[in-house]
Amino acid sequence: MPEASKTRRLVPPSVGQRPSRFDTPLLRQALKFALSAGGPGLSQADQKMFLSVLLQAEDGGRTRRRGRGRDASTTGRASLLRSSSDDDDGELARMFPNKSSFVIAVREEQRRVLSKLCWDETPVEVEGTTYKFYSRDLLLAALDLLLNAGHVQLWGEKLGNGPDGTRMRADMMDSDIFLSEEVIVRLLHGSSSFVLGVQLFVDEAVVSWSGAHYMYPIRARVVNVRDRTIQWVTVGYIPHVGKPATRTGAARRRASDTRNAVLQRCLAILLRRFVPASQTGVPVEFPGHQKLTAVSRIVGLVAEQLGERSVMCLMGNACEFFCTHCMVRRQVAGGPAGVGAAQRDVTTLLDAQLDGAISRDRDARPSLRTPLRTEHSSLAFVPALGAVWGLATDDKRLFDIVSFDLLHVWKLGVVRMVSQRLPSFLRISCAGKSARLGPLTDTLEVVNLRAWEMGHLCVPSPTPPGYVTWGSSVVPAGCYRRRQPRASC
Amino acid sequence: MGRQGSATGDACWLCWYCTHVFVSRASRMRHISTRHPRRNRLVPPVDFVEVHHRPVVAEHRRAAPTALVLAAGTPSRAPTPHRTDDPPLNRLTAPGHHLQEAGGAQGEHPLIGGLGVVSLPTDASRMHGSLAIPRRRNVFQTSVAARIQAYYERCPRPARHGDWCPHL
Repeated sequence: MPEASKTRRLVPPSVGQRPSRFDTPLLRQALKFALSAGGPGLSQADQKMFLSVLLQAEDGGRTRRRGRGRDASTTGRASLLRSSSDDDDGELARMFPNKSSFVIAVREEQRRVLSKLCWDETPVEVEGTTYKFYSRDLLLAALDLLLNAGHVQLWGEKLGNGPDGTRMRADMMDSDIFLSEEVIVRLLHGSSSFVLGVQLFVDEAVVSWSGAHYMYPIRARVVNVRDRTIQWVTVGYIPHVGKPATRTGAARRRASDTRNAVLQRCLAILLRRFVPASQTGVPVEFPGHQKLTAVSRIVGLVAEQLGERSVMCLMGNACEFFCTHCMVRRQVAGGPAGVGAAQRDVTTLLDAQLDGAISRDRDARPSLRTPLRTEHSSLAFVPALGAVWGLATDDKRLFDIVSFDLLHVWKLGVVRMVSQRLPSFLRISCAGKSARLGPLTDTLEVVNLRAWEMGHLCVPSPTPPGYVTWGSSVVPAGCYRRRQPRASC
Repeated sequence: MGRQGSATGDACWLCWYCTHVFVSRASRMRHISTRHPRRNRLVPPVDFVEVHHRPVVAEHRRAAPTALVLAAGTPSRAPTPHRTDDPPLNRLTAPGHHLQEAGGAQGEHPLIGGLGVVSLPTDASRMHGSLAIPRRRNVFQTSVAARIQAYYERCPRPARHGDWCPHL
């Protein structure tokens, strides 16, 4: 991979081998507060102020202890004076003689951790612009999580039936997708192999609104780790591609192409060791056990619908085939005619996308992409995830791994869609009077409070979900179609 | 892809599936593709005869033995030509002949019609400079993952694009 040769360690490895200066519980708590207060942590000025507060508190406590000691006993004066001269400076004051030293120490600790976690920096050149992609290697990060976990489950197990006769499901380890992949992996690699299942979370949340760090994080989780706290680890930051400066079709097309290319190239960089491991496996040795083979698999992609379409290199919502899983047409979606729509064929789509991407590399004219758009509602890019074994091979689980992002879909998308209908509803139901929470505008503000608290641009699907009459009840069509693969989760 | 046909003299072209009449084959094809998207656009129904050929067919039918006409009788919108005794008329409805008539471009790209999924060579789309078209290849599925990996390993050097792994 050309970008791989340009990948550099963000911080030299030698920095990670130094011992930490924050080696006591008090210092670690001070570091944690400085780096996480308010979400993004304290600014450098606030860190200095924070340290001055800590030093004053430490000095005040020491003075009080000294005063109590002087009142309590006069016989041990000599020993008290000797110990007070040793304890003249507190723990913080000894470690950080001035305010700047704390700021420098925090920065050094950040660099040390970045080096220890093997964060890389890769320049990605797209359309003449160079973007910086900060990432960890997904395979190394997953293995690191696995080897440092307290409780690990290597092989999945199907749970029995519940009291109502239906199959019980508790976690990804007893899901259909994991169990079926496990059968294939053990068939190919032997009984001493296991599935290293990884879920990806591609979010649109930005790291900082200041503009200095405008990028999107990718998080990963290893499903084999069964510790009490579910640990999502950030493994990459996708650079942001801004809107086009000019409002021409060519500029928009160029910005769109850049955005899609950057995303897929970043994913390809992230997966560069993960993909071969999904094919051949990597040897893993647990203490006291024989050497096993870990075969990596992607078993979940958590994203909102627009993110999901971007990762799969499909067009957004305003297209004919707007469902990722099936080929239901827009006109019949949500109706009885749309229920039996054919599933998307993974191989066919990836083949078409691959040919389209090669054609786009040669000739970027949008007219050449028309067949791809009309036949598949697809972009002329190739999903880098398709290179992972198990997604385009064997059971072809590429679309089955898509999962709901509950926060976006349920909290933001549904609330916003409902809130758009509220004004007309309230006008009728209140019959000219104010609603319980106040007049109409106040009520809407309360409804949108959640989105406001998030401070995040709300981008629900502009397409209404549609409804299918299913027996006597009304079932959202999108839920019906999308819950089929998710029922295994 | 070139134009699929043009107005020829006084000939009018009847839709294969409804009663619309058009002045050219191209407009008829457009109509069928939009109004009857799930119907076959390559081969007309077996009992279909073009409007301007119907007098000839009718005359021929009168000359043919009555028993044979009755034997060939199926529910249709137009008189059915006798198939075994009349090769020239049968050629009007033969798929190969019709493909040639519908235009050279369509003859080269048979997938634009409604025949469902038709297999093409893997690199056919590259030969004609067009994008991929739906086709099913259920053998050697692992090649897709390998091709994607190869694509991103060689990206972004379009000047060196080529067949990175053998097409199956």
